[in-house]
Amino acid sequence: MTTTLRGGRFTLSQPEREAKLLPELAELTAHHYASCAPYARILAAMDESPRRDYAHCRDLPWLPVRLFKHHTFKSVPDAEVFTTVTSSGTTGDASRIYLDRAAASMQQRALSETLRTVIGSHRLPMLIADSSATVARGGTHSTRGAAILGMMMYGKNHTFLLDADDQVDLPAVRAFLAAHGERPFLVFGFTYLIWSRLHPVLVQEGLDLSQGVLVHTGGWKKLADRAVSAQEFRRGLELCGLRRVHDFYGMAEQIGTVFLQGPDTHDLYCPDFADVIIRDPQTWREAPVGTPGVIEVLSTLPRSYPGHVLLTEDLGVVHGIDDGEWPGKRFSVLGRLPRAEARGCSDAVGTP
Amino acid sequence: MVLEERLRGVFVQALELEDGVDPGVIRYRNHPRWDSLGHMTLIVAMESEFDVEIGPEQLIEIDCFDAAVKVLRDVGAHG
Repeated sequence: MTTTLRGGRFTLSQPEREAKLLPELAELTAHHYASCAPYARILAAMDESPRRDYAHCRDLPWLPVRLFKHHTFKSVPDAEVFTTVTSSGTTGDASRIYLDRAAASMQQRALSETLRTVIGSHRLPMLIADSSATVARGGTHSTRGAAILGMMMYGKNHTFLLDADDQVDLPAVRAFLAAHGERPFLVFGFTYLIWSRLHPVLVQEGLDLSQGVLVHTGGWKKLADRAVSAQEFRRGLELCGLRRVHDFYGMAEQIGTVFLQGPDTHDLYCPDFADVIIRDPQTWREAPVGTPGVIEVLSTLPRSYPGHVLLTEDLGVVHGIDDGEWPGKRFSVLGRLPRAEARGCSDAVGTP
Repeated sequence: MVLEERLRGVFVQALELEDGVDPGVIRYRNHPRWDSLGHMTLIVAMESEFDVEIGPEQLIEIDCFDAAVKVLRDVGAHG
């Protein structure tokens, strides 16, 4: 367990990562096979059973992420379920993720370690590009609320960009910047809200966010619909002084694991306890570097539910291996699989 | 004991505990007031009462009163 807790950094080369993850993920496959009957049945239906001799992480059986909407995957007894994380979709049923106390604590620590890479080990003053109503009592069942609350743990002096009526609270933002704007501070929000609500305020008011570290998530679909690319997003914020910008990719079904954008490029990287594999949707073989395919996400965190090897409904591409700012694979998320059911902003950080 | 007494007050106030609820027996997310939002309120109140800074990892450790006492001692709070 302790190796996992220390693993939230970005230090392992691909061969080191493969060597570390393979036995841990194989052990998790055996553990979930023994502890979660629905998982064992699905593996059996795919003609898979846990083996001891996997040669590569890509040989491990995966679970399609959408099955979480229709199955109860739980590898702990009901009495030990400490908290449930729900990934709400816009149309479909929600995924439910079951965490026992150990898993809840572990995912929060892992997230903490991962984020420390970009925000340091102190809780920073935090500007949240969202409405205070999103995290009001009772509102925390939403995925967005859960994600914000999860991130609030890494901040202090929390200030919301939007008031309870969803209007920009300019006096609050000005007061925040007057008090904390001279030293590093954290800005967090969903990508489309950063662009649609925060960015216009920065432009209009000429606010100085040069000491800010922006962490954002939620995907690009809503911005792509408005023809805003990741490059344009980054350039637009840079013009407002916001140069330290980190997108992250994660999902409720693998809570605590986030793939984080490196300091200078647009590429996402895997923390040391995780990896991605891009699969050709025709053959399901691993796609070569540079060839888009379906993203499989691997993480040693999920022990209370079988989410350690998941086939997502996202398209992605690996741009390179061990040749970027951080070691391991660097990749991009290209969007949803064309036939995937719309899931809304299903990315979640969640709370312990 | 002084630290514990002050912390008791912080728990009661930050989590808006009703009379008769013993801060020493509730656990994070096992009490309706001690949810994620209550947790942040509690941490901020602890930091202000004891003039300390609680890091993200320590903040996660605090899941009961005794854990809060330990973290406070770790970060150098005095009764």
